[in-house]
Amino acid sequence: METLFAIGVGAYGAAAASFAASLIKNRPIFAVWGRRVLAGAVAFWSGLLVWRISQAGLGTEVWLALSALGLSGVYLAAAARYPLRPLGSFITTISAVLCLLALTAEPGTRHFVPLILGVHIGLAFIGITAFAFASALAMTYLLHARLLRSRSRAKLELVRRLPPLEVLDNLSLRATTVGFPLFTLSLLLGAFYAVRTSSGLSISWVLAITAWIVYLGVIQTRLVMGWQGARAAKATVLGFAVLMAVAASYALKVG
Amino acid sequence: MQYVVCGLSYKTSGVELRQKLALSPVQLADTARQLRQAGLDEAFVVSTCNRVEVYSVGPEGVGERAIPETLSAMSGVRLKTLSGALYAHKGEAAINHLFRVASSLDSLVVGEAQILGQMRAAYHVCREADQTGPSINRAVQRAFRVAKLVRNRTAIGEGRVSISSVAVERASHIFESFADKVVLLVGAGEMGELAARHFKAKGARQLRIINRSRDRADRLASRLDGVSRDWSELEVELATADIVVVATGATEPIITYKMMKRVVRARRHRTLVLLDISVPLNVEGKCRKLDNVWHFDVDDLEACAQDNLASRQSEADVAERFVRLEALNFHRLATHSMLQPALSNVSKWAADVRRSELARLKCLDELTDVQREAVLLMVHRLSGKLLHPLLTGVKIAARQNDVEGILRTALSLGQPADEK
Repeated sequence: METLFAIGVGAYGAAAASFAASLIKNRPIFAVWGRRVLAGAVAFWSGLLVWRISQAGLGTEVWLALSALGLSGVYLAAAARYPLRPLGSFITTISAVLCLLALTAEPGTRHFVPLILGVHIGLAFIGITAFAFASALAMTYLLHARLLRSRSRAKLELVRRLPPLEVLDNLSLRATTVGFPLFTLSLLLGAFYAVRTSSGLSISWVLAITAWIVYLGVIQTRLVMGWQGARAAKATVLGFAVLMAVAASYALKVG
Repeated sequence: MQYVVCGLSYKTSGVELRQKLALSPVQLADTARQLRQAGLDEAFVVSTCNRVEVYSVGPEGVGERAIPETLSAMSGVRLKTLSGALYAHKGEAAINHLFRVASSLDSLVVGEAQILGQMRAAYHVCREADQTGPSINRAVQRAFRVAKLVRNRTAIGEGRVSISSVAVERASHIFESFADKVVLLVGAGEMGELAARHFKAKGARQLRIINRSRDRADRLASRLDGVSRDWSELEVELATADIVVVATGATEPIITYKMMKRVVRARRHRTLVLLDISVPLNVEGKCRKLDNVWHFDVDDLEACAQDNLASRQSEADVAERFVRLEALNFHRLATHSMLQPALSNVSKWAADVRRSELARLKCLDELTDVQREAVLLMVHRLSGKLLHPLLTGVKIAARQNDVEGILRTALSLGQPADEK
C-alpha cells in the first residue's frame, strides 16, 4: 500500500514539475502534459482510495489523500474555464505535500468511527481543500503582484503567462467563502463530539480555532469592508499555513 | 517577364515627399491602369503613410522605367527629385521584398499588424479594377500566407510598443475585462486621447474626461463617446473610477500622495490602476506604496515598450530567414510556371517546321506507305532529340533558379528569325 501511495505522490510530483517547466520555459505543451499527468494521478488516486476505504475504512491518511484529490479535481475543472495554467504548479505541489503527510500518517483507529466524527472529519477536509485552492490562488496573486511592479523584462515576460490579478482575487474569495461554512460546521461538530466524549483541549484544536479566526478575518474584511488584493491574499496564505499545521499535528498524532 | 517592385518608404524619403505621393484607393487603381498602358502586364499599387510601392510583372526593363515616370506624373514631383528616393528590386529580390513588407519586417515598428490590412485593401482595389493577373495574384496571396505564418510561428507581433498600448496591456494584467470598468482620463491632450481610444476599443464601460478647461473636455468627450466632468470633481472621480489615465501638461504633480490616501479610504481599498503618461510626471511617486493602487508612470511604460521592441527585433531575425526561404521557393515555382508557355511555344514551333519541311518534300508521295511512315517517324524523332536536351536543361535551370539567360534563349527559340 505504501508503494502505491508513493507512486501516487510521484505522479503529483511529475505533474508539478511539468507545470513548473511550462512556467519557466514558457512552453504551453508542458502545461498540457502537466494536466494529462494530473488527470492520470486523479484517476489513480480515486481507484486507490476506493480500494483503501473498502479494505481499511476511513483513516487520517485517506482524508488527507482525499483532500489532495479534491483539490486537484477542482483545479482541473477550473483550469478548463479560466487561464490558470501557472497555478498548476502550486496545486500539484500542495497535493503532493498532503499525500506525503498521508504516507507518513499513523493508521490510527478506523473501525467504529461514530457518524458525528466521520462527518466532522469529512467536512473539515472538504473545507481544507477549498482553502488550499484559495491559498494557491493567493500565492499566485502575490507572485504576480511582485512581478508586475518590476521593470525587468524577464519578470514582465512571466507576468504575461499569469492570469489577471482580478481573476485570481475573485476565485480565491469564492473558494474561501465555499470552504468557510464547511470548516465552521466541522469545528462545531468536533466541539460537540469533544464535549460528549469529554476530550481535553489539544494543540490541533487550538490551531484549528486560530485558522478559523484568520479565515473569519479574511471573510469579514473582504465581504464587509471590501478589501481586495495583497493583504487579503497574505491572510489567506497565513490561514492555510495554520491549517497545514493542524493537518500535520493530526497526521503525526501530536495533538 | 519578371517581377519588379519600385517605390519609396520611410527609409528612403521624408514624410513630405511621401505625403505628395500618397494615393487614395481610387488613385491606386488609376495608377495601376496607367502602368499597364505603359507596357506592364500586371500591376499592384500600395500606398500607406510609410510607403508607396508598385509591384509589377512585365517585360524586362519596362517596370524600372515606367514606374518612376508614372509616379512622377501622378504626384507632380519631378522625376529627378523622385529618383533619389526610389528603390527597385527585381526577380527573387522583389518577391522577398513583398513578403517582408506583408510580414511587417520592413515596417517602422517591426511586427505591427496594420500593414497586412492595408495591403489587403490595396490588393482588393487593384484586383477589382482588373489590374492584377495570375502572377501578381499568386505572389500577393502567397505573401499574405507567409505573413500569417510569420505571426503564428514567431513572437514578432507580441508585446505592445507604444506607450498608450503598453498602458492598456498593463491594465489588462490587473483586470480580467474592461467591460465593467470606468476609465477616467485626466487631461484632454493627444497622448491621453490615444490611450482613451485604446481602452474604448478594449470595451471599457464608460469613459470620463476631466480637464482644467471644461470646453476641451466636452469636445473630447463628444469625439470619444464619453462624459466630461468638472475639474473640481477630480477627487470624487478618482474614488469611483477603476482606471485613471493622467496626461496633462502640468509641471507639478496634480495627484498627490495625500489626495490618494483619502481616495483609497473613500473607495474602500478597491483596486485602482493609475497610469501617468505625462512628462513631467503628474502623479506623486509615493502613490505606488498605497494598498491596491497600481501606479505606473511613463518610465515604467517606456521601459516595457523598449523591451518589447527589442524582443520583436530578435524575433525578426528568425522571421527574416523564414521569409527568405519562402521567397526563394516561390520564385523558383513562379519562374517555372512562367516558363511553361515558352516551352510549349518551342514544341509548337518545332512541329510547324516539321510540317513545312515535309510539305516541301515532293518525293514523299512517290514512296510506299511503309517508307513514308518511316520518314515521318524519323523526322519526328530527329526534332524531338534535338530539342530534348535544351528543354530539359531549361527546366532544370529553372528549378535551380539559374534561369534568366536560358529563359531568354527559350523565348527566342519560338519566335520568327526576324524578331530574334
